[in-house]
Amino acid sequence: MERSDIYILCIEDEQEVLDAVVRDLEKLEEQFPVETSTSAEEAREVIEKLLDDGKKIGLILCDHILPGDNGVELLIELHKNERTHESRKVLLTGQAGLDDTVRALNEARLHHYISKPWNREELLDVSVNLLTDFVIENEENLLPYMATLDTEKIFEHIRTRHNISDE
Amino acid sequence: MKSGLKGLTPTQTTGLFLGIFGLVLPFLLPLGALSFAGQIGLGIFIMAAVFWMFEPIPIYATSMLVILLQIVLLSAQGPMYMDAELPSGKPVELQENTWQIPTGALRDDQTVLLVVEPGKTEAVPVEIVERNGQHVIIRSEQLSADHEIVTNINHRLVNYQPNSYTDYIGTLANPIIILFLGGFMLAEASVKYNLDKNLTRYLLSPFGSSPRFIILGLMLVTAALSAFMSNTATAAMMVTVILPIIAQLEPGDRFKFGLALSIPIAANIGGITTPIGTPPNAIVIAALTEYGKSISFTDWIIYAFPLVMIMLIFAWWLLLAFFPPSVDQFKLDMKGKLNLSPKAIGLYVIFGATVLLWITENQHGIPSSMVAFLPVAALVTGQILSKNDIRNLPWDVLWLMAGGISLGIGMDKTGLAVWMISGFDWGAMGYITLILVFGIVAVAMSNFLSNTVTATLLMPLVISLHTSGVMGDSFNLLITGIVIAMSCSLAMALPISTPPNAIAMSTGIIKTKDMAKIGVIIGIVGVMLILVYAMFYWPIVTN
Amino acid sequence: MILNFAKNWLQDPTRITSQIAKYLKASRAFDAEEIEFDKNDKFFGEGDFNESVYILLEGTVQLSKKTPNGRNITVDWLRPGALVGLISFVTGEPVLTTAVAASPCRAIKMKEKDFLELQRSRDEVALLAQQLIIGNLIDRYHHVVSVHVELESINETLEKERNHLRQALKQLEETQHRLISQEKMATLGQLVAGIAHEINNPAAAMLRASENLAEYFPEIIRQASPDQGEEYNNFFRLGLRRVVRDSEEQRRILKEWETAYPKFPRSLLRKVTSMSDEALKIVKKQLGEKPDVSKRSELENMILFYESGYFLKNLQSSTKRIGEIVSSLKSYSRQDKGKYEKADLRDGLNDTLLLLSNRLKKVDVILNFSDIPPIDVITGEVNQVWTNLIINACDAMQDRGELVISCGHDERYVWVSVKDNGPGIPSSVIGEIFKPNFTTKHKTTSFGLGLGLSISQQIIQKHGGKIRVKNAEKGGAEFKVFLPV
Repeated sequence: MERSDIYILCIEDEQEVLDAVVRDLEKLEEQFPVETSTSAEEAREVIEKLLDDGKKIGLILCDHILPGDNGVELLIELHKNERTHESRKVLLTGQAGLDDTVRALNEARLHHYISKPWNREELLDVSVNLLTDFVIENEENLLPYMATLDTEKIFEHIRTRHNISDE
Repeated sequence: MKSGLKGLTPTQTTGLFLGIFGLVLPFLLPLGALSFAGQIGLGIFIMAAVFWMFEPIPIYATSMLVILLQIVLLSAQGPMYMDAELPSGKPVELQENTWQIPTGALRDDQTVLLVVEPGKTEAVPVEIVERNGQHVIIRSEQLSADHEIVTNINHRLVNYQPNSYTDYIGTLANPIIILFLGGFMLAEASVKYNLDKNLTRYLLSPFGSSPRFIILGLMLVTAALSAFMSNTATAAMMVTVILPIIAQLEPGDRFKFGLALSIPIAANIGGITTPIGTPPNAIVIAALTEYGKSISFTDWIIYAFPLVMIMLIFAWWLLLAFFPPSVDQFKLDMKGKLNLSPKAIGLYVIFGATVLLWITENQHGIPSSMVAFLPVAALVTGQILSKNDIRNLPWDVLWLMAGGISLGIGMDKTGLAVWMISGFDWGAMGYITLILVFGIVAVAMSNFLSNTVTATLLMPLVISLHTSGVMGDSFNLLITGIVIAMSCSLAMALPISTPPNAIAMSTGIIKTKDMAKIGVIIGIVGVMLILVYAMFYWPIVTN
Repeated sequence: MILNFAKNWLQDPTRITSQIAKYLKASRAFDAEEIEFDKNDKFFGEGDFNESVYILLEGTVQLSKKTPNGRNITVDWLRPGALVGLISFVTGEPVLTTAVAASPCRAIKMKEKDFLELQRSRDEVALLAQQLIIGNLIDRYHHVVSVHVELESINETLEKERNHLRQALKQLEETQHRLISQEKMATLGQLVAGIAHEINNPAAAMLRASENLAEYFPEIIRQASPDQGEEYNNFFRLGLRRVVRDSEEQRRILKEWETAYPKFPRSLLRKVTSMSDEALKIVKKQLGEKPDVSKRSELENMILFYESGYFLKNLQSSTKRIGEIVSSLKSYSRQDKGKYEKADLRDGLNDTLLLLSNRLKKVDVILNFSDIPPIDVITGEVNQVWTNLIINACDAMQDRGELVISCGHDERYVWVSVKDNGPGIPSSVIGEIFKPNFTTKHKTTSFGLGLGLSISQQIIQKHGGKIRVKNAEKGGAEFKVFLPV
């Protein structure tokens, strides 16, 4: 599996939880390198650095409550930033404060909301789904992602949008 | 990405520099008989070939670049030939059969060039009597006082009459391109209204649930669809049909390789069936038409259909032999409902009428490219396709073909094509050997290159063999062209050979090894079969 | 003479009536009949037009009137000597009151014109009649005055009563409020105790299981791989002891390793980056200078055991955390007994902080605890006070800032101070914050632990302590709770 330039970023301040999230995403990591950060501040730096290196950020999984910042605020900020606007955003949360979630949905175009404790299949399904959308919208050549991501969705896209047409 | 330009792999970077170098290379080598324009043409040809092979830019971009270079460097309106005039003059007769000519008119092989007609000269051997500074005194019995001879044999107009730039850019409106446009729009509308999926559903249902016949059904349906749609779109759609079947298999079951391979194989072969099945057909048809060998839609089907059927049956047998089915029964559950909205019905009518008119071209005589404008106009008039759908058409493929056709025109016009075959004693090879060699070369090349590009690079050679007459009477332009077109579509040994292969590969089901094994066998058997057809079948049906 | 008479009247009104009766009996000039009434017989009803007047000779007559609500109230009792129907008789208006015999009565009924005639006669009886009228008027006036006085005193009592009730209601409300809060805490306490018990069992089992696994693992590894058992065990132990690296440094190491071992997938190398320096050294040694891809499985094994170690460690530490949270919940809400116990306030403060840790994630909590002696408190209730003060502080700071919690003591009191660096309390409301229902919040807190400062104050007062508030010099409010030693 070719490593792509599309990164997955996990933002979570509790190491145990971060370990678990990263472990669950292992299947995707061969193709989508995983980066981690334990605070919003660090996340901003990591994002900046990755983008400057010409990488893309396909998926951001963010904890709800971070030291010194709110996950929702961070997602809103990233949504407003042109460079991370396209990145798919997932809020990972242990407490269901409806107000915050609604805000995240409205203002950060939150793509998904996963409540803790989650299970691996759910997290993987959501990630695969969102990354599929991301590559369909942002990548020219979709074939490398076929085996890892949602094959049917990508094929449908190729069928209708002539993604590959030189014969 | 250790070295290389930003965004390019090292291979691509190499290709980029090689291509640019190739453009100027002909001017650095002593190429003797090749005219100045031929040198430009050769440069463009090398560059295009290198770019198409290494793909530093997309292949359709190379095509467009070819057209640009041709209109700038080769056309009558380009800066190179805009005000140029061939320097010529009459020889001065000193005594009988003794002439004084400018030194520049004498060629190294002791001939002078007689202007026969604009752009065409004839070499006349002369005997040098005396060199005297700016003039040479020669003896020749073939010259006469009213002969016009070229006074500067190195001039860029020698042996070249530039044609209008519209000939190059006009290739986008070449009848075959319009035929493809019609096909593309039909395919676009079919996809939009799921006609392809629904057809698949209906066509597959008679094949029951036995794995052997399901594979046969899949292959026949894939081939049938790809005869009218892009092979790629067909493969993308059909792969989604087989994924649920594969999910029913045990993880280690090798039958899934057979299933997954059946789609690209059938899509590639199916493309041969009709002129619009795949772009190499267009390149060949366009070139042949240029030389008076026009092929109707019906003709093409008559040439291709028997070959396609035999190849499909053979591939079916081959896949079953390599990957025998392990279960007795499959559940093929395709959901869907025929779209019966007025627009969809409009599409079905237009689709049916167009295809009917195409395959009966010989009966009514209306050229298929004219018929192709029926779907083009009707689909947009009936609002069956929207503006966005039109924008979504694979224009890049049309440009790729247009560039290929344009390159062929340039090669012929500049005398490059003739020059290229001149170094080799083709006549000694024999017609049958020649066809075999072309078949093998085409399959081998298009395994690595785009099929269209392969056809584009090979067709000028075929044309020049025809025009130069080096092969004698046994040479059949039409059959050789068909050989090229069909061989290009039989290359499927590697994931990069064709987009359908890449699609099948990307599912992660197949291993490259298996694809190569099956692909090489199909390539070899295909070329053999083509040879047999070229010897026994096509000569009958083309007369 | 009339004045003279008034005295007589008051002494014995019947003397006049009997004289009049005697006169009337003797004289035939007037149309007057003596009528006997049984108990409950009606003289006339309210609103009737009255044409006669009765001179009551014997028995008692009850005058009653309908109130606007339709209830009959007694307005007066008439004794013998009274003129029944006097007012309407004099004014000619409809009768004001209903007159009913309260006991068997005897009365002289006179027509209007006869009575007027009687007053005008030349006889002594005219004087008697006038005396009768005046006497009656005096009586009525007396009655009116005494009714007024009575009304006034009743009003006074009523007002007193009403104030008393108001007071009682207020107390009732407060008690109810407190009871509800206590009930809430008691229910929460029971709930928590129940849940805590339910969670503690599996948590304890998990902890034990993970500890056992950590013990068995080395043996399993040894048996599964006799050759490399020790090496793998080493990685397992290193994983078990993993100290998390700062992620910035992890990235640096990852970059280093990616350059050094370009053949290995990044996913594998990223796992290496979390290893300790010691482990990294061992991995490097095992892989050698220029490892080929065949070393990959070995690297994978090392990582496998290292990861097993730290996932087991994560399991243990997470299970321990569950245990801690459960026990704090238990001790926090320990009020099922509601009894005073000797307790160290710092324990309660720590429990409270642990439970509120989610809320306090973005707050810098500075603990400034000095040694304090244990004192008698109801732990659960006092914890409510801490919760309340901390949540108020968080609200004031909008969950961002510095929270200083300190404690100390003198001879009389142990004190706890909760200080935030928010905007402080406006001086306009600082006097009111302990009143019930005072709030600056517009939305309810997500978890109803903040029970209001008034409750806090009541709890502290119940403990014999006091609660003081002031704005700090540099902004922010400080609440200081004093509890008696």
